[in-house]
Amino acid sequence: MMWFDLALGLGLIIAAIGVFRSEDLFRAVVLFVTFGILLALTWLRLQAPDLALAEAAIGAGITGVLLLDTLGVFRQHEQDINPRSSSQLPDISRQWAANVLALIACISAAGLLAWSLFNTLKMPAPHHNLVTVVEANIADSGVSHGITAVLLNFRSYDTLLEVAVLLVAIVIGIGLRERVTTSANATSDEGQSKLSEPPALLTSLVRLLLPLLLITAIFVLWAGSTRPGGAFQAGALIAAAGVLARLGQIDIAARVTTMLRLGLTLGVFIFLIVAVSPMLTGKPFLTYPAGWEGTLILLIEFMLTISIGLILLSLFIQAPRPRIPAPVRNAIPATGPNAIPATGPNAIPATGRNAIPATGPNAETNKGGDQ
Amino acid sequence: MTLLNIFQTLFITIGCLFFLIGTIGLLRFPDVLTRIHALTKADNLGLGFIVIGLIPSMSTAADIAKLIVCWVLILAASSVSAFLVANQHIKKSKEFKDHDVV
Repeated sequence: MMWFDLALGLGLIIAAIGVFRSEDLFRAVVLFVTFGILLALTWLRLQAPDLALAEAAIGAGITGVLLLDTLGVFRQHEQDINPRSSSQLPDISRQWAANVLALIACISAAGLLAWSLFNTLKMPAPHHNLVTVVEANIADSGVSHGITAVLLNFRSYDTLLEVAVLLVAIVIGIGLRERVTTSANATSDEGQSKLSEPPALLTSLVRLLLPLLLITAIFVLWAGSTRPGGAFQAGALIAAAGVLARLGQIDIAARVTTMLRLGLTLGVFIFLIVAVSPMLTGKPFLTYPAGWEGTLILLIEFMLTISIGLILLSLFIQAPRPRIPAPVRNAIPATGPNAIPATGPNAIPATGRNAIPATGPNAETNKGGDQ
Repeated sequence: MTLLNIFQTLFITIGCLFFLIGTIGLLRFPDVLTRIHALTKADNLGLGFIVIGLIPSMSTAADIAKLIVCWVLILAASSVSAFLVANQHIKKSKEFKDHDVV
């Protein structure tokens, strides 16, 4: 098994270098997804199946889809505008400044890492092992899986804020999208009609996979209380199902309706209600009433799954399409296609075809006139 | 080494060989269509051999069913994605030819 681990670690490093070194963006994205899958395998080897699941679903899956989608948008615009333009290259002094800045950033990051490593080594060993503390208190948490107990009971504050961050991200995404579409209505129409009729083979596969994906998502959610699994992984599966459904032209988040907004906020809303309601009886924020922990955690996880799935899916669908910067779009056609006809086909007749008749027949007629 | 072990080793080795062949094909074949051919055909066959080789190691019927479901799902997904890639490739190359003629 040691050789496998060694190959895995080396593969991770090579994939990471490949992502940064590759000139082709598409190759970089594919390598990034490969990196995510290798990382998921690494977590599995480190006996952290929860992290492996999350990395495979969110790191490799959803992020890969988002990156590929962005790449597709870039490609479309590259076809519109001619990418060959030397004016876009930064001049040498700018490049120098960027290099110096990057060097400073690298040195300070390395210093910070070295400093924290040094301090960690100097620190005395912690008095209590966190794993044993969790195991000692797990009976009170309402679930029997340590990770879920930490995420939704012992450190539920962190989880609440994580989900809130996701919600803020999608709110900003939708806000930007709406700004873009109201300023130029054409872009939204383009986005709607971009999907052409999908092949029948794809739609039948989507029909086969959708129920399976939903069942798996519910299983992963349910398993979360006793085994590796939980709301984030299940939400990522639901998002994947949504992306697949969109490919088969069953679009559940195409328009930002009230229902979608409700779904997006449901998880945080329920979580907050459960968190705040004990305060009515004088207990601190985020304490579950005794005996109700398991039920409430499952309720929160179920709502979170719906919200996380919809948020990830909406990030994919509702993300604003980048607008082509106006000066680039105007400048290139003016110097490109227009410039070449002016010096090319027009220039040759002026010196070639016109010039020869001028010296040819005219010269002869001149001769004739002389005679 | 029991007969079952020999059987398993044989099947998994054959499966790995097919993966190797598929990968060589992916690297050496000249264009998109032949590469898809190498990847989808050889790799799926190799996966089948590996799944058959792994089945005797499973303890419950549910685990065996999961393995087989994995195989079927990968078969379905890879054949459809191969079709989509090939379809797009043919469409693109046709457009390119039309442009060339004009």
